[in-house]
Amino acid sequence: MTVFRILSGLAIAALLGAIAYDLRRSGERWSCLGRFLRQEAKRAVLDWRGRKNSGAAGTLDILRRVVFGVSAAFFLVLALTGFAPILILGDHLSGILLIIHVTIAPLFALFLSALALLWAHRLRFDEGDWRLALGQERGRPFGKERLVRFALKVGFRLILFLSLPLMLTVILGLFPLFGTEGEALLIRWHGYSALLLMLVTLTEIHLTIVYVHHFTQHPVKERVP
Amino acid sequence: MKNTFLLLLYLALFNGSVSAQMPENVGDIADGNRSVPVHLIKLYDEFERVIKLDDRPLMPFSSRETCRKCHEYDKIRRGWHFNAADSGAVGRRGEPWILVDRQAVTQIALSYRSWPGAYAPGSVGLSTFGFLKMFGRHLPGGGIGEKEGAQDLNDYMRWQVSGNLDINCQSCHNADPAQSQAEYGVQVLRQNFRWAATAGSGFATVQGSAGDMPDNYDLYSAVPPEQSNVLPPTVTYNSSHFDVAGRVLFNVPRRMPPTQCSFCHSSKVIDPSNLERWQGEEDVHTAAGMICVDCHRNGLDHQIVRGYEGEGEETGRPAVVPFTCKGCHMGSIDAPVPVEGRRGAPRPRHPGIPPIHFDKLACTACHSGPWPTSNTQRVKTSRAHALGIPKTDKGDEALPHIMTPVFARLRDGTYAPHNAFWPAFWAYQSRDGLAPIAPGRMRARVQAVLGRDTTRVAGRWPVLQESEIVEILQQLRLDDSTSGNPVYVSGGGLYAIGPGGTVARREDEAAGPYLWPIAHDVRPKAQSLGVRGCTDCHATDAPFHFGTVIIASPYVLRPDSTNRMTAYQDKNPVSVWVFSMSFLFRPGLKVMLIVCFALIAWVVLISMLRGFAHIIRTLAAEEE
Repeated sequence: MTVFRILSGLAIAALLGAIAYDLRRSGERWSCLGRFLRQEAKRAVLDWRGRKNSGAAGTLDILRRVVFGVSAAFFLVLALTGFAPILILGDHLSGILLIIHVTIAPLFALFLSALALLWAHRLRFDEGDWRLALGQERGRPFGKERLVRFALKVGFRLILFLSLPLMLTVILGLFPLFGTEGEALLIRWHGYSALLLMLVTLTEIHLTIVYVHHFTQHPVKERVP
Repeated sequence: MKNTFLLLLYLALFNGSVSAQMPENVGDIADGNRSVPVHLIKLYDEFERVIKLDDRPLMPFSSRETCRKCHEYDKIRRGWHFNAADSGAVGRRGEPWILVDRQAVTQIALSYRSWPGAYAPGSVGLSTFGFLKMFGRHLPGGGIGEKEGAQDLNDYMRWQVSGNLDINCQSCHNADPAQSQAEYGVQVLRQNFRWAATAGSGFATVQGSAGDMPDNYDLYSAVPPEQSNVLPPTVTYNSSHFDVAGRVLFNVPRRMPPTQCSFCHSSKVIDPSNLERWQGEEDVHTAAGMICVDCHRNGLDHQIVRGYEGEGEETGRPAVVPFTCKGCHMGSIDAPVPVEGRRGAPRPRHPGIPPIHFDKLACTACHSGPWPTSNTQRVKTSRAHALGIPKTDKGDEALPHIMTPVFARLRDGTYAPHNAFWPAFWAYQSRDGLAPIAPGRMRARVQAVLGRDTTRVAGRWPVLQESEIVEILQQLRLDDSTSGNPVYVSGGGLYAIGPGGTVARREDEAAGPYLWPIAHDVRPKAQSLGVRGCTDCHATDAPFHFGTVIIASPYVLRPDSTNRMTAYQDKNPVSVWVFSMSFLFRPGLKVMLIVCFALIAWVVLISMLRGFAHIIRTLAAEEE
C-alpha cells in the first residue's frame, strides 16, 4: 500500500506537472479546460438540434462524442474515488466512496466498450501513421497536428489495452477462484492497471483538448457571433 | 556515624539483591522432563501447620500454604484471574459481573477493572466481602479475597469468621473427577471462604455455614449458646485419600481438560429452535481434541493469554502475539521463525473474499458465536447467571437479559460479535457523571410503589409505569437534593423528571449497552458467515447489518424496544443498505463486465492483428 501510494502520488504529480508545463508553454491556462467543456457542450446542443439535417452519420457522431464525454466523466469519478482514499488517507477504498466506485465501474465498462466500437475505426492507423511509427518518414518534415493525432490513436489503443487487466482483475476477484493472497494480488494489479490507465487517459484527454482547440475549426466559434 | 550510614546502605542494597535473586521454588524450575510430576503432598492449613487426621479441630487445608511450598504464590497471585483489583491490569473489555436486583429494578455492570461502562463495586455499596458473597462462587479466589488492604473495616469481624478467600489452585489444576467447583461455589455463598477450596477438592466434606455464625465466633471455641441450633463450619476428610505419611494425591496434569475452564466460562444461547443439549455443538477446536490451554497459555506468572488481536501491544508482551487466530492460522510476517500451523491449524484460503474484509472484520465476525438470525438471541453465562451452582434459576428468562450476537466495532476499528446487556439503575446525575444508587437503598422504595398495584403480573422483570418512575425520582430528589439530578437508566435511555412532571428521555453514553466481544464457540468453516456467498452479510435483510437488536428494558413504555445492528457499527444505515442492494444486481453486473471485457478484448485483438498484418506487408514490400 505504501509503495503504491508513493508511486501513484509521484506519477500523478509528474503528469499534472507536465500538462501544466505544456499549457503554460502554449500560453494556455487551466481555465481552457472549462472553456473547452463549455464549447463542446454548445457544439453538442447545436449538433443535436441539426441532427435531422445531418442524417444517421450526424446522429452517430453525436453519439460518439457523448460516449467519449460520459466515459471520460465516469473515468474521472472512478479515479477520484479510487485514488483519493489511498493518496489522502492511506487507507483502502471503503464506505460511500466504495459504493460510488462499484456503482460507476460497470457503467464505465459499458461506455468504454461502446467507445471502443464507435471510435476504433475513426482512430484507426493509416499508412502515414505506420510510416511514422516505423520511422520511414525520418528526415521528412511532418506537422505537430499529425503527431498529436498519432499520439491520440496510440493513446486510444493503450486505454483499451490497459482496461483489459483492469477489468480482468475485477472479474476474477468476483469469483471464488483465488484465496487471500490471490485476491490481494488481484487488487494490487487492479491498482497498478488503474494507475497506468489514469496516466494514459489524462494524457489522452489533454491531447484531445489540444487537438480540438488548436487543429480543428471550431463550429461554435464560427456560429456564435 | 558515617560508617553506620554506609553499613545501613550496604544492608539495604544487600537485602534488595537477595530478594531480587531469590531462587525459584522447586516446582517452578523445569528440567525439561515432559512427564507430569506426581503431586503426592502434605496438606497445610492457613497457619502453615501440617494437617493430620487426628487434629481437633480439623482445619481446612489452605491452597496457598500447601502449594507455596513448591510454587511462588506471590508471583502467581498477580496473574490475570486474580489481579482485577490491581491498578493497571485492564486489557480489552471483558465480561463484567452483573449485579441484578429484581426488587430494585436494577441490573448494572460491575468490575474492579476500569472498563468503560462497568462500575466499581464500591460505587453501588458493595464491599469486597459483599462482592465475594455475591460473585465469589465463580471466582478462583485470590485478589480481593486475600487483599487485606481492600477490606472494609465494617466487615472486619465477618472476615475473621469466614477467613480469606485465598487462591483455590484446584479450581483450575485439579483434574480429579471429584473436584467440584459447584461445591466450592456453594461454600463461598455460605461465606465459608477458608473452607471452600477444601470442600471442592473431593476428598473432604464441609458442613455448616460461617454466614450463620455470630461476629464473635472463633474457630477454636464452641458455638455460643444462643446460636446452638446452627452448625458451625466443620471439615471432615475422607481418610482413604491420605497415605501413611499423611500425604494426599492431587491429579495435576499439565494440560487441564476444558471442563475445568468451562465452569466459569460457559454460555448457553437461548435458541428456540435448538433447545435440547444434544442439538447443540461445541467449539470446533475442542471438538477436534484441543483444550483451552492450548491457546490460552500462561507461565508461572499466570498472565494467561487472552488471545485477542492487539493484546501484545496493550500488555507489552510481544510473546503473546502468535497466540491469536491469525497467529496460528495465518502466521506472522514479523515472526523470526514460522509460527503458523500450531496444533495443526489449517491455513484458510478464503477464496473470493476481497482482502478489505480482513482489515474490517475480526476473525470472530464470521467464525464465532451463534449464527446470526434476524433477531438477537438471549444468552446465559456462567458468571452472570450462576450456571453450575445448585438451585440456580435454570429458566431461559432468568435475569440479566444478555443479547448475542451484536456485531459492533472494536477499539481497533474491526467488527466483531459481542454480547450486550443494557443497564438499568437509579442514579444521581451531576457534572461528574452518573453516581449509581445502591440497590439496597432502592429496594424498599421501589417495592412500596410497585406493591400498590395489586393487578401487576409478577414476572421476572418487573415493569415500571411512567408515573411510578416519576414518583420514585421525586422521592429521590426530596431525599437528597445535593447529589445531583435523580435519573433512571433503562433500555438505552436516561429518564429524568421533565417539564410538567412527566418523564423525559435523553440519550446518554452511560445508558448505552455494555458490550463485550466474544470469541467462542468457533463454528466450523462450513458454518462461517459468507460460506453461502456475499449475501450472508451483504443483503438488505442480512442480520450482520440489519439484524434486530432487542433491548431488554424494565420500563413499560419501552419494555423490549429494538435497534438496528448498524446502530452499533458507526455506519450510516442508508449507505449500508444501498451497498447491500447493489448485490442484488451483482450476477447481472458480472455478466455485463464479462461481455464488455470480451468486446474490448476483441477490438484490441483486431488492432493487433491489423498491426501484425501491416508489419508483414511492409516486410514483404521491402523484400520485393
